Amino acid sequence: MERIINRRDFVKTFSILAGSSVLLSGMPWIRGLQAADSDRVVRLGMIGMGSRGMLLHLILKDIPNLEISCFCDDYQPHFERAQQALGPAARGYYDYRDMLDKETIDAVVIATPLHEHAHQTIDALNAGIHVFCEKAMAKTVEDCDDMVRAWLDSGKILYIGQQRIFNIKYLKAYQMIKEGKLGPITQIRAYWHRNNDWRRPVPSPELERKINWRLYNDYSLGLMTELACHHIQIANQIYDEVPECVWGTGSINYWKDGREVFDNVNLVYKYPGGSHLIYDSLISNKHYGLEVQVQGPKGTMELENGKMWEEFPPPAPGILSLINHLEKQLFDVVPIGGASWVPDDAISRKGDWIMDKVLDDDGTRIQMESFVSDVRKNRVDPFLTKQGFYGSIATLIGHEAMINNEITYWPKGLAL
Amino acid sequence: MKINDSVQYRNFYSMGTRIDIILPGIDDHIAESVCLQIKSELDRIEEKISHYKESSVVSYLNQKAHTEPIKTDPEIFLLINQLIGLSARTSGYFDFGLGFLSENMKHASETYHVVHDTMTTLSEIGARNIVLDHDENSVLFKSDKLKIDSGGFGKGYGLDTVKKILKALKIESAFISFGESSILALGDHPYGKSWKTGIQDIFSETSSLFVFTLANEALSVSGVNPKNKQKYGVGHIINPHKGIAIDCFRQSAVAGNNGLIAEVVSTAILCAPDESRHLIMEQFPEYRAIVIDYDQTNKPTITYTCNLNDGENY
Repeated sequence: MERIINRRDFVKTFSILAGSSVLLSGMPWIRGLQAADSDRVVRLGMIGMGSRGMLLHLILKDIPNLEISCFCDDYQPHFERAQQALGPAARGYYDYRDMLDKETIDAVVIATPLHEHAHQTIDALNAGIHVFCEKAMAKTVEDCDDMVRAWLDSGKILYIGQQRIFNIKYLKAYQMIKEGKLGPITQIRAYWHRNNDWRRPVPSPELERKINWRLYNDYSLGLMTELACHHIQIANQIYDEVPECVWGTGSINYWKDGREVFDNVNLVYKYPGGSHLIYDSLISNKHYGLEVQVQGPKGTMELENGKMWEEFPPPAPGILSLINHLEKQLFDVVPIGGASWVPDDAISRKGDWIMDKVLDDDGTRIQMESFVSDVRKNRVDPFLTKQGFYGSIATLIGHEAMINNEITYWPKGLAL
Repeated sequence: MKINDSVQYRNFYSMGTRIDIILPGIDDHIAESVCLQIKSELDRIEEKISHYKESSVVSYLNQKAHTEPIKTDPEIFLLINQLIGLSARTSGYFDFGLGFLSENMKHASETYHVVHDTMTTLSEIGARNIVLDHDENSVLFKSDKLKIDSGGFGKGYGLDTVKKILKALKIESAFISFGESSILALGDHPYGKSWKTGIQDIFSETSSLFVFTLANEALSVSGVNPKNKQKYGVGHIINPHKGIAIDCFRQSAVAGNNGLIAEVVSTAILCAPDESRHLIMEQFPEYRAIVIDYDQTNKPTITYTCNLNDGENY
């Protein structure tokens, strides 16, 4: 069966999902995306035109009534590439502050290295501009907190790029989980494994830290802020809580090439009620790839894979009839092999698809459409900012636990 | 899951199907332990015999046994030996060595009949082209096209295994279903004598077309139904004498002491023409059988019966 669906089918599927009361109450952004848009043109600036920025541009350029009127990047090759892609009408800047001062724009999309996120977001919000900022939110708890304070003061929109919130496969799984298909969630296991040095080619040595910023402590927290924060945000969302504490360990055990961030991390997050997120990530083996396994007494889901296994599969039709007879203490015929009987190979331990079909999109496209739509309507959605904030804080305390080699607790009083 | 104070129910997936287990007269704790043992044993068997699992003994034979005799796991060697004998006793209407044809049918059902020189292929594959060396416990396939398809015997073998476990644990009453196509019924129903098991119409959920009374017996149902025809374009069971899939709607059901034999014979009489069914059943006088055919309007008729007990009716 073809599992990738086209855009039109996707909209139909999304509309069905969006009718779910579970999703509507848990995720107000869905109602926002459903509401009719005006055709007012949104003017947008982009800050950071590296690989992620260019990918976001490819998505944004297809959104109707959106004008990317300016961009900023302080690395010349990226600047030139962006100018070529956006065309001569888009004004380019090397300093984002210049851009914010000179341009009249509704929103910015920030896709810069992690250490830049906080001040760029705060400056944009203070300038009265809506912000989409890539994950993780920032490099320190204090910076994240400053960002949300600026957001609250501004009354503007702040999205953090946690695209799995918008992934239709995750949405369906979330709906099923909230409806109790797995029972109460008792454990989540997540991992993200790759097998490469995580480096990008550097044209000359003095550019090493600028290009490979993900490998150095001044700019990034490595696997935690660049990968783990996605799955940690999902765990928070599923538990509908933030973790009480976390403990873990990390090291550089393979890529001993001068990098400063860990090439493997292992953590356990404890949530209220005693449930856990067990997380690990490494870049020296890709056999297991990436996955989020959600476990409860009734079943297991693998969210990346989009599959589900029931602990107690429903009885076959004839057996169900037998059970009904036994409950009524009746002695009757056990009917087998009837019209509703499914041939054996239709079900197996390979699991059932959470959705029959999926869109070839990890949620980024819907996320950008939702952001532009919210900007057009001036609709602030605290749910999304909270998810980005809490996901990032949990990520940062995980890093702290590994660095200090001690159990690290959720910062006291830190809440939205 | 406890159905009531006197009956336990469990289910799980194993051997590529859904296993349902009804256990009257035991408590929850014992039921859990019994079902764990059953699952563990079925998973073990699946690891050995499933041709879908790359690491199984059968898959290894399918890949290598045409190149040289392969010294084989004793359990699988004995099973293959038994299956070769059963294939001969059914005049070849049961054949577990047609995996090549069934795989091609699944992957290219539309073009299958055109692409293959079926009779030439048939002469090279099948149980009669498997050579066993009983001194060496080795298996040799005469052709690289010969592949074992465990779909035609796995559940029956599994049923017999479950029966052994229950007997060893002194469980006297049970109703076990492997995907509702292979049944083991031990002892008595909690509220009556034996287990009355009905074969239903594949086109409707009306009353059963035929009811077997099972007492410490297995029941195997084979058939071509609308769902697997829809899936493959043709039926999923291949007539070993013709090398083509059975293309009409038909069901067969066989009851008797041994699950493996019941499964083998139900497949054989499904494939065999009317005149050959009695010859096959003469080889298995302890087994009871029916065949149901469907006409152009999908109306069912029982077209063959053999050795039925008094009181078993339609």
